[in-house]
Amino acid sequence: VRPLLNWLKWRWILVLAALTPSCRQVARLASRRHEHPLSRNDSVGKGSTRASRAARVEGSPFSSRLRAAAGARAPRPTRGARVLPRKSAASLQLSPWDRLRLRAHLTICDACERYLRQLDILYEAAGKLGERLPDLGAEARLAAEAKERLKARLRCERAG
Amino acid sequence: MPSPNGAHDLNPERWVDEHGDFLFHYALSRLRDPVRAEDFVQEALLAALRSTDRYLGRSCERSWLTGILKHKLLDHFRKAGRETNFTDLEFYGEEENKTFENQAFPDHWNDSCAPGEWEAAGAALDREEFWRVFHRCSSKLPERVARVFLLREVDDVSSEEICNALNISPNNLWVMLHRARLALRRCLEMNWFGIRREGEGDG
Repeated sequence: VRPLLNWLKWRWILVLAALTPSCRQVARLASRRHEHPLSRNDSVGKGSTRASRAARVEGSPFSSRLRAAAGARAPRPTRGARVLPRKSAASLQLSPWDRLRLRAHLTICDACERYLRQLDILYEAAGKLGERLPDLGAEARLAAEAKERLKARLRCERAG
Repeated sequence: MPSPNGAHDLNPERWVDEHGDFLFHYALSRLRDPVRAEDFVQEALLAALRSTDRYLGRSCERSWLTGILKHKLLDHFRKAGRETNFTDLEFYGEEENKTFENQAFPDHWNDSCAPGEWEAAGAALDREEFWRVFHRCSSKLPERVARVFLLREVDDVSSEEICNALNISPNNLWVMLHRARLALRRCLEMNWFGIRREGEGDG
């Protein structure tokens, strides 16, 4: 039995290898959300920044959706991210064939699984970047003279 | 803060003290020119002063002021986009090819560039030093790529709006974002998560 199983195992891996997209294609698929009208903020209406921000908080970032679309097992949750139900796969507009290939790829490729997880972190960090002001030193702050100039200009404007 | 007659007590000079640094940093990260950044902060504050009656107090003051500055910058990019060919597609192209250069399996991760395991990645977002590294990495992106990335990922501007403002095709936008993410991921991996391989410098 063992040789038979081994034989099947290696054939299965070969079939998967032939079926799956390359890692480069998976990485590119991950960026395809920008072309999908139903993905992320575009799904809640063009220009609806507040709504899209809320959607980002409520929904999981794209890469989790990608995994869900591919039907992969639940990913390791990232902070603040929630795995979307499978129906969100529809928003990706991936064809069933693409989903199957993606699923097959993620089954055998740990690096791509890690890459998608890391994209989650990047999206989360980028989403928070607007609220953060790390202390980057004096050159990233307004100089005292600049502040005085601005205040004087505002006073002048106010006085008419 | 609403006053008894329903108007909001807005103090423009206080804006400079409380939000000046934030607005300046916001503009600087998108323009990379301190003089122009200061000009835009001034323009935004003046525009805010002229439209205080339209401020309903629904959002916090900083969000309101940032929104005005964001629109000023978008207008600026829109004008500049008409005058220049706004692409930076050569950026990271070669690096991307190297990333997916694999002798055994074409177009699969090169062993020296494959994503490593990021330990305690979630907790990193609470650390001030992580944000410094993140800023350092994003400032290493070429100016135009960084601008596209910030507009899309940080400011949540729609792809369509960015393409119109910057006069680029959706495909170019997509390639720039894709390469920006690859570059940022790599930079964070090396400089924050401490995963270095042979032959890598201070990415």
